[in-house]
Amino acid sequence: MSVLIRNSTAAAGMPAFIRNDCAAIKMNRGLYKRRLEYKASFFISREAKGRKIMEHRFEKEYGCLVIRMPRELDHHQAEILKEEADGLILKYPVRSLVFDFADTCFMDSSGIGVVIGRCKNVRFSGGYVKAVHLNQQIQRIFRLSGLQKIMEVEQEEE
Amino acid sequence: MEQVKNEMKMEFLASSMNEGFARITVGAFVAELNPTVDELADIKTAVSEAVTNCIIHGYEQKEGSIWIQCSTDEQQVEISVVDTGKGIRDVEQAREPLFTTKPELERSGMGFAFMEAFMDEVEVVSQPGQGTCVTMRKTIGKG
Repeated sequence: MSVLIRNSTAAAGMPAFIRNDCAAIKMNRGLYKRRLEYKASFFISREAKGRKIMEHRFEKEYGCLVIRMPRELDHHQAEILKEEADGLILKYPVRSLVFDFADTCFMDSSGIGVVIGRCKNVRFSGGYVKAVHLNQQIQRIFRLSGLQKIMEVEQEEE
Repeated sequence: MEQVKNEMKMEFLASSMNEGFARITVGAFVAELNPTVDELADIKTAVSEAVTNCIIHGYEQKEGSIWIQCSTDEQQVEISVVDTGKGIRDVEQAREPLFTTKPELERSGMGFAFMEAFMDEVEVVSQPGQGTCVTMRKTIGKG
């Protein structure tokens, strides 16, 4: 079951977003209960102050949070990512973390710092941390920094 | 193709919003030398590291200006990134991989290591209380 929730109200803030979320679930409560055994993925994106919050999905069955990394992961984007990822880790019962680099074509050492920081936040739960869909440039960064020794890496198929 | 010497200088606000701007402008300037995709990525990453250091360490995220001077001569690129911020007390220690004075900001301490890995030469001149100048050189097409 996929639930696409869009909140187009600018600067809605978290409370409005959660209210919409709960409202959607309440309406489908009967249906939702019957489908509990299925993997539930929520694709959520919203506008806040003109900036799109990063895409992510939470795979409830596995307690896995998949975060879509930004196109250019520099210090500026790392600060945004840190704030939003920490919010998501608090919001969901996250056990494992997957960084999806499918959109990412640039990464510097600020990106390394934010990835390691998120790993530390999740490690205590006993889950795994993985990086997927790395292109050649991002793979170089991972190799140079030794990040592939800290986390599992699935490379992009050429 | 005739190679000519070229030079540019720019000044911008030390804001993280301008990190991408710095990468793009330096990238556009060196594109004249027909770098490979990897060489261009290397230069942009090194510039990004230097500019980020100015913002986080030089000005500690307060107001300030960053100057970038870039020159090309044949296939040689020289990029200088300058700030008038805090300066570095111990340059050798700062250049050590994984060393950082700001672990609370989740800094990896790999900025200089990346600059040195991606550029042929990195020179750091700094005076505490006055500022820092990082000069990087690379030869395009060296392979």
